[in-house]
Amino acid sequence: MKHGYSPQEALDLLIRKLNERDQELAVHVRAAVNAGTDVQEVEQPRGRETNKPRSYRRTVPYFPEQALQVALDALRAHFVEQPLFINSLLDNMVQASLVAVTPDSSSRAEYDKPIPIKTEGIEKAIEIELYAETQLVGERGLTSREPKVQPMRRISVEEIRQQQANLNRLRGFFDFREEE
Amino acid sequence: MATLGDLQNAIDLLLDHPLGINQYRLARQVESKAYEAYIFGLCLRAVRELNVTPVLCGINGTPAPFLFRGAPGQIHSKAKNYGYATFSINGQDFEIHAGVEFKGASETTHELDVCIMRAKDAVQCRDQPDDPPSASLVAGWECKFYDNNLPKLLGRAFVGLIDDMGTNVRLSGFCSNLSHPQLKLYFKPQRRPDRHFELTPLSPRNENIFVNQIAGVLKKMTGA
Repeated sequence: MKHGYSPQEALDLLIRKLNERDQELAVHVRAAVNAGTDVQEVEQPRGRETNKPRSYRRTVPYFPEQALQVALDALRAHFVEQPLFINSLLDNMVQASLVAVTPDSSSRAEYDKPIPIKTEGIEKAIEIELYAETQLVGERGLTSREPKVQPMRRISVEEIRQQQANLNRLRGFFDFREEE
Repeated sequence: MATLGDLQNAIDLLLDHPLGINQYRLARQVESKAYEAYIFGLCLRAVRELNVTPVLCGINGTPAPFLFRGAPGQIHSKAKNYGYATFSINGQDFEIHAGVEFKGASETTHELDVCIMRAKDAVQCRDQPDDPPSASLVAGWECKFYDNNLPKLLGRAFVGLIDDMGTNVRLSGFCSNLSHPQLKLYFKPQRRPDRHFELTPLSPRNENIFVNQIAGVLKKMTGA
């Protein structure tokens, strides 16, 4: 594919678009891009040709072409990997049984050998506890962390496939190799 | 020729997709915990590989819904109906937990993102509220979801943690969706925790290695 833009222009556009939509995500992607990469450098000490070359590692910035790929990898982690984690978890939970223990049951024997309800093959409801932002409570300004939960819902395989295709399409737009 | 306009459209398509910005906003607070939960799920799969059905439990009763901790907590905490799994192989009982604190050999408490422990000790710690001793730990994993640049210090910290968990630990590993060349080297020596980089559903091969390793250790331990 020929491009009517430079890698730097493409990177600037991606970051600008991210910034417009979600500043927190833009910060994450900028951090990924700005992290640079480690390279091994070899240096011959000046004036002493008999001495061994000095070798050292240093961090260098990515070229814009590399930075674009790094940015896409970061977006893939949020847009594709995260939904896949949830679906994988739900798949693995489906094959497990639920225990039939009621809150007031304190029988050690029952706890040691839990009695399962036959629930294999049935989708389980899953939640992850989360904490709201620290809130001010009352006149004294005490802080409180109010626990809330986030349900983990299965995500359509078709949607994941579409989003992977969207990422692949962008990789094509960011591939400048043939123009080098 | 691809124009800036074409590129703009392709970026919009990605960000405006239901799994784009909206999904990120919905999930961002639990992304790292979702990765731990995913690893917990792989442990369940490893148990099933041994033809054993794991049983999902909650500290206060039937886990419906099954709740993962949002922050490290004590195994006996009944603040909410936190979930865990139990399974038995050849008369030996085990539990799988996420985000539970253990008492190290030095008496310092350590959080393990995901672990397999002896059920007898877990029951005891719930009956007489206490942190489980390091000797009760069978396997433990550090789980790190990152979108870029894994910090090296995470590896060093986990090696220190495992060192404080005594000699009963059969399996330990550092899991991440990313890879890191320096951390790969750091975990290479034989007595270090195993490295499970790029452990995601996008790499079924890496998932299989992880699952088979757990199944193998449990099989050997129990004579299954």
